[in-house]
Amino acid sequence: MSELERTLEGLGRDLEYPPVPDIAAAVAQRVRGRRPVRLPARRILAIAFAALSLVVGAAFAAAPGVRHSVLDWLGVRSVHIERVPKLPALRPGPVGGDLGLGTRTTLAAARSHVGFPMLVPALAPDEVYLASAPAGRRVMLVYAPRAGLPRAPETHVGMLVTEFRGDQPAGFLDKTLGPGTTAEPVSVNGEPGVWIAGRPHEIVYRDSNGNVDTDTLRLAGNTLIWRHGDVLVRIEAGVSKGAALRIARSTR
Amino acid sequence: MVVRPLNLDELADGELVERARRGDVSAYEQIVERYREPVFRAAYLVTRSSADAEEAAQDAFVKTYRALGRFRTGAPLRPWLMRIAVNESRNRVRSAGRRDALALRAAAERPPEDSDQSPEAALLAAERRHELLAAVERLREEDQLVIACRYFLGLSEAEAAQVLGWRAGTLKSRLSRALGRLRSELGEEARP
Repeated sequence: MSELERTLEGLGRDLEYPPVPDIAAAVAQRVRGRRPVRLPARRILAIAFAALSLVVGAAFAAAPGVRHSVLDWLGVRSVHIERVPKLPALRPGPVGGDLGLGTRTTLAAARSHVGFPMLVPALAPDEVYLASAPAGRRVMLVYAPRAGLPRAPETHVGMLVTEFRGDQPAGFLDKTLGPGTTAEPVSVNGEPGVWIAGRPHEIVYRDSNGNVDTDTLRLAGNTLIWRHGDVLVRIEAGVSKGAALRIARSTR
Repeated sequence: MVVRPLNLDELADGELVERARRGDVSAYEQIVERYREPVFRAAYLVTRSSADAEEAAQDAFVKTYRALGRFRTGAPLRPWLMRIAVNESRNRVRSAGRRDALALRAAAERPPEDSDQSPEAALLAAERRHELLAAVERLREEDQLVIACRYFLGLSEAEAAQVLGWRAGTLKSRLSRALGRLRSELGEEARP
């Protein structure tokens, strides 16, 4: 670095700026109620391809022999991607499409891909998403707001059901909740669960590889989490404990 | 499973971005809080007006929020935010003209503790810094911008290239040409 550059750097350190205005609240005010725009088409395509490559194996098992090469379509011969006649990935839906939940798919496709027994409430979901990572390990059922499932202020959905394989490290529900959040143990169809009401919080769980991970509850609403075998099922909705338990107990 | 309260200020940028993408405005507020200083300063160096810089910084954060879906996971957030702020500021200056632009000022250089600099030498150094700033301000906009990004805002060459939307090679050559023109302004011999 030359003498001149060093002098410029020194000068930069001593430059006088006006006080930095406190703009965080104003920005928050302006973006509230406007969710980030959806991924551009190219990105959605890339995710669809990623999902496609994940589901190809399963699709082959279901319908061996029905294969259509898309290498020409893609213009990439070195990448081994094949097209299945019916693409399970759907366009993001109007309810959960903006939430970055993953790839939209069908309930049937999700069931065959998650690799664990999925529970579905008696009320059928409007949209189903598979998280792009970790592959096929998390499924989300999205419900539009309706009578009994009020619109969540942050996410605009009525209810979100998330399922993933996870275990509970020692100290399940450690009573480390912050002020304004309450948790109480509940039982869902004979399985242990917890009802959490109040402020947003995150949960800590141990994944199937034994790593401890965290997951934030997406809605400001209330949450019911229970364990079904080695699967953690979570319902987030702005409903009462009784209503959440009724929904949970309706799952099959 | 342990349930614990969420401390947004402890979260890494990537995690905050993920949350903001899902519509968590408080996570985005945390990002604004974290980067409002470099973003505002970048905007100020372009607009030279506190009010314009504040507006440009705010607009930049709002635009960035809308564009979070395009943000590459794991990419550094600061240069991306600063780039949007610089673009916002340049547009503002172009459309409104640079009214009442404030001249840049630097605080007096703090001599090292053990310095035996004489008052005369200190005065000379202060004058030289004043001249240098004035010379920077006589440069054309692009030269000022690249010098401000690299030296005043303390960005690495890679970061400065990202903020200005140039390739690394372009940044290097434009920076070198800007320094050459600055030397001419100062009446120095242009060095390679």
